[in-house]
Amino acid sequence: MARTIALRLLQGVVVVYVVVTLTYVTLQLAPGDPFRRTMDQQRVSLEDRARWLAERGLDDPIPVQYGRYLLGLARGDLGRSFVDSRPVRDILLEAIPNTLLLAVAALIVDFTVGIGIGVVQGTRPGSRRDDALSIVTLTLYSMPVFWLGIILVMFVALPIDWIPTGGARDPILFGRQSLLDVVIDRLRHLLLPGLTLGLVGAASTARYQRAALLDALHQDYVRAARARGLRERAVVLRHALRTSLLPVIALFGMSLPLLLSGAVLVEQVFGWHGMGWVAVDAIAKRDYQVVTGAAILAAVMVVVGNLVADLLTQIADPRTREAS
Amino acid sequence: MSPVVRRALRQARTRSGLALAVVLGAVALFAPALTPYDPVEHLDPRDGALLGPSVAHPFGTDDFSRDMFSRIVFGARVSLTIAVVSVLIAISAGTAVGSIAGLAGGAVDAVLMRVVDALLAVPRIFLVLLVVALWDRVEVVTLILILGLTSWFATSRVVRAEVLSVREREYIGAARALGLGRMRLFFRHVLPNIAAPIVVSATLGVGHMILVEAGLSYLGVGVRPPTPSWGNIIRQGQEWILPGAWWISLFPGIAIVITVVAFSLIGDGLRDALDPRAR
Amino acid sequence: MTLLSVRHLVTSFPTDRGPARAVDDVSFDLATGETLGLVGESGCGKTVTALSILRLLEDTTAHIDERSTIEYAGRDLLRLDRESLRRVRGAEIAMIFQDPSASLNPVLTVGSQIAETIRAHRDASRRDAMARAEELLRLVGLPDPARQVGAYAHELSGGMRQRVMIAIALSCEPKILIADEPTTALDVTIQAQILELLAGLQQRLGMAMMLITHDIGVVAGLADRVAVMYGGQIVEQAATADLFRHPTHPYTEALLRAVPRIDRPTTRLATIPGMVPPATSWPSGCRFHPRCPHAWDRCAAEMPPPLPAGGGRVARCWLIEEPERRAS
Repeated sequence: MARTIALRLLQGVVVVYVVVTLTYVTLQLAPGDPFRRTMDQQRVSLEDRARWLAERGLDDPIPVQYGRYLLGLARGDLGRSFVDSRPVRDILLEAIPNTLLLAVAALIVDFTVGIGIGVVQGTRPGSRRDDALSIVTLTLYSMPVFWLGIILVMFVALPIDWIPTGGARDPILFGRQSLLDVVIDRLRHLLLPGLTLGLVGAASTARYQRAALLDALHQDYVRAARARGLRERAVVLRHALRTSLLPVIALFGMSLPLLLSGAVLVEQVFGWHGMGWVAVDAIAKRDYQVVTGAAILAAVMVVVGNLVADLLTQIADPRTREAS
Repeated sequence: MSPVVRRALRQARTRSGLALAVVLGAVALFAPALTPYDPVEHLDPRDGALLGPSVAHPFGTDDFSRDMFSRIVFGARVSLTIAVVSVLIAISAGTAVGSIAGLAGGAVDAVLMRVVDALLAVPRIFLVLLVVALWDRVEVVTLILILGLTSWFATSRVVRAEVLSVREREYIGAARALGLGRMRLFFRHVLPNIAAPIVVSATLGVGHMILVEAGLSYLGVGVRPPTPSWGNIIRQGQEWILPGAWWISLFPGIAIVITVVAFSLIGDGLRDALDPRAR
Repeated sequence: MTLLSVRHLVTSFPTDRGPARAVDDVSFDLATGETLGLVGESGCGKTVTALSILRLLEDTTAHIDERSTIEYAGRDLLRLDRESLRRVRGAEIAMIFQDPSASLNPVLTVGSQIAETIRAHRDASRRDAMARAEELLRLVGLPDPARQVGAYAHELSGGMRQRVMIAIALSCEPKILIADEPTTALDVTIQAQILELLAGLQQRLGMAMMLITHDIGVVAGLADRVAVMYGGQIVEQAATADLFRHPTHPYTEALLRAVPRIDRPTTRLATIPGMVPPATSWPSGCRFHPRCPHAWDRCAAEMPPPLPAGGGRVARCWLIEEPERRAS
């Protein structure tokens, strides 16, 4: 276990380094100067421009900025927003919990629905039920996640009062509300965004689970289990399903980048002020410092997620445990 | 015809996918001939803004009185072109890097794959957003380049794996013993044998790219109005849902689903045909 | 007393070129406490025969002919309902497979796989079942059974895994044990140990055993009777000693001749000319005739049924009726 954690930590460092290097290499190659890039060209005097650049350290040569950024990163400093000079770390740390909430909700939907459908399909391959569900998963898988969100808003949120069309919480709730009210309020705001992000992922999970289960059902140990007179249910659940979950756990790790990408889009649809929303907002304001920070943090989240997947796999598959 | 292709075509779903893709390609190609209205020009709003679907306007009109059907058809042209070209770039870059890593081995391979793994860890949208934020001025050509150059990582891993397995086979040793130069070796002996999984990757990649481009255009970062892209039309339509103009956002999404389904069917069919375990 | 009676078993698989009869009219009996060896080259249908007895091919495209019957304890196994069949499997008739590493679930402990078998057939608490599992591991000769109960398949050697499989098979004291190539995947030195173990256990528990193998040497020591299979059929059945000393069928003769012997050094290894034909195109008449040194036109024209050859021996060969046709 320690080895796994150490390896992922190392990977995290490499990932961050690569992203930062990519950023500054691109900056070096990109046309336009930092001032034009970050502010709309208005009638600004040369001195004001020079001062603006100097304040942000943007008048130094790019390699210098690169070094400075890396050093800052080692201290956990992600720089400051070009727009309001707030530390990027603070801006993002405010937004990350919302994204995490959304991601967790989506993952719950993804894996319960996805595994459920995959198992239903895998136990009766070639049946009409299987074919019908394949069409469903293919369609879901091919849908743009933001469009699904809009469709759900149109056909679910608009007709049903109780389900909000956006936002992470009711703006009119005051501090007096009980904990239960707050929780319920958060949940009903989380419902559609979580469902949107989760269903698209579920389609992919279902396809994977179906294949994994079919594969497991053809293994020798399943036949051996039947030969022992175990009930069919035990054979499928305890033997085939158990081992078929292993690749699905691995899938969890691989699906994280997609999940976070989807989160950016879903946050736009529902006005959910998470990391993605902040990043897109920053692009409109040409604040690439914030976008860089968001990209770095997103990558780190993926690495952490992969670590979780590794640990889960070690728990589930004794063959992958480190020799004691 | 390659036995793989034949086996793929034997599946109904590959044929359906191919049929759909051909129709879509034709629509994209012959867009001007299919659309009676100009997709971009703003018309007099009193003439017919926000009309629901009708015989004259099968997909309705938007707030600028533009015919949605025409916009969506032209959107096909835009989105498909971007997707196909950027996938070609991604495949080329991925094959190049993967082959170099696989053939060179050693330190080169290790470093390249570490970098690729790192880049794979960054969610694609964040990567593209980052590059777009840094590059500042993004027209369609730049967009295609950015999309292509941020999408080659997975392909390079696949190619590297294939190259590694092909490298050890006897005919490579035989060819090298005959004194074949390295470039010749690659193009005539290695490449044809790794081509099949690359084609699968490319086909499925077009589907993914359509979704990525749509997402970016929806965010306002990809294709910008007035040029129609399915993604930015959906964005435009989002404002009009509450007032009740449901058709603006709905139809482009259906178009995307159909397109992605088509390429997924073809890609899946090809991939199953390649699978040695004939099921 | 006859325990198992297989009559006219025909198991076929649909293929592009028509149904392939992997098992084509196989009949044999198994008596209490007896060991029957089923011998043949790979592809002759012996494994499919074994799998057909417990109907383990039902999740595949295999089809067993309606006229086939497998009688056990007064009932036809091929006509049993699912639940009754389940109760026979493991508890009355148990099977061990060729590759123990593939036949054990990699993510469950060895002990739990034994215990689940017990609990599937008997009313036992988890603790009792696990205790019994430990006992069984000791019975099959596993060192340190208390610890091995919690071991996983990949932590054990090949021989140990096969012992575990045997333990699972014996956990409910079956009347019949079907052992499909139990030692093929194992080291030669371990082979002997496992065979000894099987012989000993069989004696102790009074089990009947069906030993399936391509290695004729394996049955020499263990089996009471041997059935030789070729081309999906049993071509000869006899008591072991009789079979080895006076083989009737030319295929059996050829098989015995092909075994290299240290005490009779020869310059060339004897082989059987020709190849086993595919199951989709069996030759007409006697299946072996294209490769048989004695064949004449009757062999190609008529398929010989199992004919008595004296002393309890039975073989599918026209030479029994026309011994003068034997080439010298």
